[in-house]
Amino acid sequence: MSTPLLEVRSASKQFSIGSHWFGGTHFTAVDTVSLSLMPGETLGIVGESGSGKSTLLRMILRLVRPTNGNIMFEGKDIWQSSGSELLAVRRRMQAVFQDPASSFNPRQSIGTVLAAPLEVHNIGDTKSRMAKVAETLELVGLPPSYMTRHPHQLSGGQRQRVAIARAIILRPSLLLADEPTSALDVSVQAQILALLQTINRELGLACVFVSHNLGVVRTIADRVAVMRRGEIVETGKTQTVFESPQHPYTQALLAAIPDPSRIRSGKSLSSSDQP
Amino acid sequence: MSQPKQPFDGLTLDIKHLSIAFQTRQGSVTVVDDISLNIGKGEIVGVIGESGSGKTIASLAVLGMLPRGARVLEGTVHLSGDSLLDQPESYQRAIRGDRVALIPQDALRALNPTLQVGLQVGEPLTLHRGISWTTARKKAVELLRSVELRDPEQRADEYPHQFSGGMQQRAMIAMGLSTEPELLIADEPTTALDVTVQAQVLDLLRNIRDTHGTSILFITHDLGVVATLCDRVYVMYSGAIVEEGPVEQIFSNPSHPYTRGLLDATPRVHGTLTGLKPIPGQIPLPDARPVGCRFSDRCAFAGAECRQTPPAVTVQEGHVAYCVKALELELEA
Repeated sequence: MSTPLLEVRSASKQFSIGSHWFGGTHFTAVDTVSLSLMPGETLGIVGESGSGKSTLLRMILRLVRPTNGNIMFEGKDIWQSSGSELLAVRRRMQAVFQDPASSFNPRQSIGTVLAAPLEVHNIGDTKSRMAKVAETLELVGLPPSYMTRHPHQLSGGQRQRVAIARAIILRPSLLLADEPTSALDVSVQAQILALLQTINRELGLACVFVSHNLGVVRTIADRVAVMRRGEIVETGKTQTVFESPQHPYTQALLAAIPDPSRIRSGKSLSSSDQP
Repeated sequence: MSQPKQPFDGLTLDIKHLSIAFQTRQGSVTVVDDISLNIGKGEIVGVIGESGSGKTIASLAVLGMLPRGARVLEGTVHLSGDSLLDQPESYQRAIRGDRVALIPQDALRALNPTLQVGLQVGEPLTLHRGISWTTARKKAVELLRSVELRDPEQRADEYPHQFSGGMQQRAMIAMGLSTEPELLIADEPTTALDVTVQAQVLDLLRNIRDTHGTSILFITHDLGVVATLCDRVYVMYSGAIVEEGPVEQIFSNPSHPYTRGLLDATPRVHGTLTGLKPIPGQIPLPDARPVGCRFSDRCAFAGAECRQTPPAVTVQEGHVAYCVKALELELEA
């Protein structure tokens, strides 16, 4: 067996609340989480709001420093890397976020947006960059003529396609997606999920897919990790977790989801479970 | 005040041939196009649609709360026989929050951040029943208890930001129930909530219907929620109703290609995993709809006959699909 592409080793994140002088306390957003990801594999992380799933993703992206533990990417601790080594890590690890509208500069054309990663990493000249942009746009199902458009001229689904194009233009080995379809309509969401599946397969991308939507995760992930209050309560092959969930929380979560194939049989947790 | 009445036929809400347009610089754009929808007493009726389908605008017309620039072109709206359109603002104010209540998607934005929750929940009673603030505050505690909020006495003195999302939505529902309205309009009330909390709120709405006989208009984009909660459902696409019928019918025998497409595009949590089938393309802009059936440019079954206005095809008693091919599709299924 080959070495994992990504390894999270007992990572924790505590945020301090209140003043240090007057007895502030700590809130543990992520509590000793370990996971690993093989090249080309898609891992889904599910949980409700406050479960720590986004904080975990931000630690992997090197946006939030873990209080304890290590994040290993391609065998190196990303928090120990700096300079050109870090630049290389960034090139191999790209992200797609929930709100495509807020992840673009409204004044830049799509062509400029997509060429930016190539410029940052000093790849090619202007002409070859434009060719690369056109090629990547086609890969995400948009005509190359969209290069001259601006973000506001695109629909939500098209903007998310551009966000994916920007993430894959450097041919990374790992894609981190934080609720990439939550802001989209069902029919568009299905298009974007299909696109992600195709791209992951064709480019051999590994993917960490964070979502509160279990149906979406079931569709796209090979393995799934269920998070609750900062901890991973259950992890396993997607099929196994969905067909025979072991942890009571996973069971409750699955039972709470209204499903079109189960008409008027929705069951809920007891209302005493109010937070 | 004399109100135009139509013979009361037991329908809490009766919308007939309603069309609404926005005035833009490019001219008038029809966003709700000739929709008819009704809700019987004690019925929970779902309206499903993606963004831009016109579902929210249609519900705002019922409340007399259309945004600036929107205008009712034609049609009628009756609440238990009383006409709601073309009424003076004072009349609509008397109806809103009394006979019809709205539960919005974002409860925190709908609540006043500077006012104790108890006072806000009781406010409709002071406005519509003329009771004192002190009495209304006491009633509010009862209402908060009835929506299964824990420690209602203490909670009534707290402010909205001290509530969790689910508790805020419970408070909004309590406020909506205060005047015992005939109709609750719930516009995506659980979209912002976690699934476990959503399940509790849906249970609560069902209990309210069972105990008070309240009619509920439930607007959502989530087919799962509709299947769990509603008795009947209307499917909207690009400003028009494309299919309507009892929930069991719509989900077991979807007869409009759009309804079927929506079901195939929804990721499932239960049952065997079947790959998602996305609907190609996107919803047309209101001023760029295809001629005839407005779904025809995305529809796999479309043919020359779809360039005509689609007929209403009765699939079964109460189940209507606005598609020329509705019955052929049924045979294929």
